[in-house]
Order: sequence, then structure tokens, then C-alpha cells
Amino acid sequence: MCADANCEEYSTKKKSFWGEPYLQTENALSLKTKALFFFFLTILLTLVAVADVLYESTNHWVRVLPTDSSSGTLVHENIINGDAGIDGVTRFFPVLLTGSLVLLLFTLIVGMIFLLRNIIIPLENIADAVRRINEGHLDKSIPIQAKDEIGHVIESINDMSVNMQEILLYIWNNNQQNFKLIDSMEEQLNKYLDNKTILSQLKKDIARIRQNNEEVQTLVTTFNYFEVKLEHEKMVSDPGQDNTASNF
Amino acid sequence: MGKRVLIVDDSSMMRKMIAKLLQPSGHEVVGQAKNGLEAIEMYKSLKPDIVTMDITMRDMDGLSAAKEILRYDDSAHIIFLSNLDEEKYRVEVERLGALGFANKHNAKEILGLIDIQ
Repeated sequence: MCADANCEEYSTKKKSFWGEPYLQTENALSLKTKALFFFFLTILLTLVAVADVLYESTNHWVRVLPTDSSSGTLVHENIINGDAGIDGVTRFFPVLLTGSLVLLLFTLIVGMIFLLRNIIIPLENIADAVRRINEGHLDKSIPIQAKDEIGHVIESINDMSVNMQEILLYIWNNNQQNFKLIDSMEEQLNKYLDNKTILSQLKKDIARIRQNNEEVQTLVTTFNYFEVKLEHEKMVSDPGQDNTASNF
Repeated sequence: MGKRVLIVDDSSMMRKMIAKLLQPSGHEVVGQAKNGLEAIEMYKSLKPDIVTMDITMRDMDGLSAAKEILRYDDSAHIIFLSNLDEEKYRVEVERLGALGFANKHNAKEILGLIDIQ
């Protein structure tokens, strides 16, 4: 089973929330498919039950009485609707039954719409947005539709993205200062240290520190930040063109 | 002397860091707001001595929130914090008449501005 988004074998190209194609791991059976399958099956069965009630009530719930001697015809008496001393409740039996089944049908449809709109679709959107954050887009936040449980999750994810930005910018700042210190150290050593052996080892170590620093800076600069741009050696403010551009 | 401080920053991590920064000096963190609107609300109800305001916030940025707070109480003491050290912010800060501007990670600068009061 391939869980990695870069796994070519099991991936399918899908249109993302923002209209860009991306590779996504294939869902064996998504929630949406399962829910729709369940609901349509239940609705179908309910419709079948309704049809059966209507059919039965008009055709089969009859009792054949002995032949009417005078007219010579068979008399069918509808047990449900008939007036052979049966009380008013059973008279309405098919109506009651059909009514409850229709009510059930209505509830199922409403339930399906609710599930899709409030849970399954928001989950898809969240999955999309988090994937984008993981690809380095710390500049955008996920819009919150409702302040419900899903809304809380989105709020927390946005908070995490904000924190990530702070941490990375802090690291970048820190490293910029380190570069200056490294340069200063090397300068001093070159000026005052005469011992060639010690000097060469120190320079090697300093070069190593500088390289480590640069590698971290490279990682930090691969991210996109909210209203901040990391240009060569400088952290500059980068206000968006319009506020709507800062949301997924 | 300990001041009552309201911390405003959209990063929960940053709010924690600033709170940690203020505690040893005896200042009391009376509230933490995570956006401009919350900041205005909490200012009105808590009436802190000092407000530390992050400039780059999503939804409502720090400068707009500060304008609102100053409109409500023009004696409010607001210190702007930012990762950036840009001249343009300093100008804006002067114009608003706020306390000052400090780098988020420069503890000394922040405490210095608070203690001036």
C-alpha cells in the first residue's frame, strides 16, 4: 500500500481545490462513496417498501367471501378498507404506513445532505489545505465556514501554520547573526593567529559551521511566508495585493 | 515596577515566548489576544497598562487594531513587535503616537520600552 504522495504507482491526478492538478494517493473507498452508497441503498429499499404497501393495500388485502347467491359473483372484501366491522384505525393502515415511510425517506435525504455538506466536503477541503501548507505555503490560511467542531480543527491548523512561520523566521534571523559572527571570527583568526596548523584546522571548522548554517537557511527559504519575503540576507515585508489572496 | 500587560499575537508560540520574557521582570500578563478584534475587546474589558502588538497578523493587522484602541483610549500604551526592522513601520508608529517599536526577539528592547513608562 502506497501512502506517500510521490508514489507514482498508486496515484491518480486530481484537480485540487485551487484548480491545480496534483498527485494524490487513491482512496480505496472514500467516505463520500460509502455514504452515498449507504443512503441510496436505504432510500431505494424505502421506496420499494412504499411501493409494496401501496400495491398490497389495493390488491392483496382482500378476503373472498362466499358467493353471493343472488348475483352469482364472487365478492371481494378488502379487509383493510372494508367495513366488515373493523375499527377506524385499520382503515388508515396503508396511509399511516406510507406516511411513515415517506417521512423516513425525507429524513434520509436530509441526513445525507447534512453529512455531505457539513462533514465530508469540509474534510476534503481541509485535506487539500493542509497538503498545501506542507508544500510550504505558510502564507495562506484556511477559511472557517462555521464555528463548529470542524471549525475548531481548522482554527488549530491555521495556528500551527502561524507557529511554523514564527519558528522558521526565528531560525533564519538567528542564522543571519551566526554568519556575521563566523565572518568576524575568521577575520580575527587571520589577523592574529600565526600558527599555520591550528589556523588551518580552525578554518576548516569555521567553514563547516558556515556550511551548516547555509543548509538550514536553504531549507527555511523554501517556504512561502505570510507578508514576509526572505531575500538574500534580508527579511522584508511583503504585503499581499489584496486580502482575499491570503486564504486557501 | 510590574505592569499589567496585554499580549497580542496570532502565533500561540509567540504569545508564550513574550509572556516568558515579561515574567522575570515582575510584569503581569493580564490577557492574550490572537487577533485585532480580540485585542480591542480585551483592551476594553481589561484596561491593561501596556499592550504588545504584533504587526503582521492575519485578519486584522496590528496597526489597524492599534488605531481602534487609541480611538477608544488615546492614552493607551502600545508597543509594536515585528520580525522586521523596517523604517516604514517606525514612521507609522510615530504617526499613531504609540509607545514604540521593537524586534520580537529582542527581549532587552521590549523590556526597555515597557520600563520607560
